[in-house]
Amino acid sequence: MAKKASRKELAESIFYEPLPVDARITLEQQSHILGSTTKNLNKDENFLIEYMKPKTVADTEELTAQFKKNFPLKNNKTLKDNKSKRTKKKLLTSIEKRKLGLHKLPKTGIKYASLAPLHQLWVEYMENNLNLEISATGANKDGLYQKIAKADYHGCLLMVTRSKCPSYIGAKGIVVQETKNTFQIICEEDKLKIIPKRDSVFTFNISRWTFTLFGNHMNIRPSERASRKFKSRPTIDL
Amino acid sequence: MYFAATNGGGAPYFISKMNMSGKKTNTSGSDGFQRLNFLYQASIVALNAVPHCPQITSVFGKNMISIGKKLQLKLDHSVKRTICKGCKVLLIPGKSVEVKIKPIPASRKRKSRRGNQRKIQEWKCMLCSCVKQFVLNPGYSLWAEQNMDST
Repeated sequence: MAKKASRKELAESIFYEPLPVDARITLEQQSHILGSTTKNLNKDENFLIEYMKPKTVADTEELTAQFKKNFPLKNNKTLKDNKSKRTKKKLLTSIEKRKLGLHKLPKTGIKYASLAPLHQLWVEYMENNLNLEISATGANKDGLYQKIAKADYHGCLLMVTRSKCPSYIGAKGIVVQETKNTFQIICEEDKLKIIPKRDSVFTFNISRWTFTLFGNHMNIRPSERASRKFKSRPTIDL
Repeated sequence: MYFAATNGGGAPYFISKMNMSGKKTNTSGSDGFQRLNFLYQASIVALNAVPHCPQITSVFGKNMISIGKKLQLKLDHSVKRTICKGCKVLLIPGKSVEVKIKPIPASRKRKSRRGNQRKIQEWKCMLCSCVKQFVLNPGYSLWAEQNMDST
């Protein structure tokens, strides 16, 4: 028994340190201010009233009346209820589209190497579409030019050769998105570059032919380009 | 890798006709169909390449639908059913859709006995939670598919 007691004392001495002096003093002071709490601790209400008495001008009756008032808490809805309830099951509002990130692609996260099969598919599509052996060597190339203008460029390996803004020159990559005014390209450093079409000249290769696109004349949405009839111009300005 | 997207009529379209002399000529609208075909295949490839960013496939889906509207080309049922109506993402069961089978909702039930036993296959897009519902009817085949079998 004595051993157990001594063990306990040992444990207590190791684990429980006495309070620092400052803390002990403040606690004693506080208990003094509050009054000895052991007196009227039958109900919590009494304690509250005892606490509030020296701080307010009110009587005990008024205080008890105040404490008996019921404060209804604010009706806090969970996050699920707070979400905008969609009335239409199928269509999305533009705010929702923006939240989902459908308009903007992430700037990092898409790797250049993973888009290689997409580029191969594009090359196959263009070779089948343009029929280059026949059309490139023929005399009348209008049909070929029409097809190039109407073709789809997602997955094309574009390079900017000439541009009014010198920082765009030399940008090279696979097209991921085409909008009315821009080409969005993933370059070899796995970054998304947004290159405006205006005042830029792009080139791309298919087997042994190179093609140039004048960005100024391509400022059209890709879907509308499919039905556009391009007029031939005598001179092409940058 | 190439497969043909059929037009709305039911018979498969031919990309290029052969002339009497053996030269290839183009049918009307063949360019647009080629483009739709390419876009659909590209969206599948893109989803495999970048599975954590399905927003890329929504770019392709949007283009497909708008080109179809501009050139007045109809997408085949098998293609259209795999494009989400809300966000235009490519839907692959398990990857970008949750497919569930549910009992037919009370609002659609008919008073006949057959109507009450129908079930619905519900496709819920994982991105935008837009829902596509197909009534499961074992004996039913689409008009387009019927024509293809007969001709």
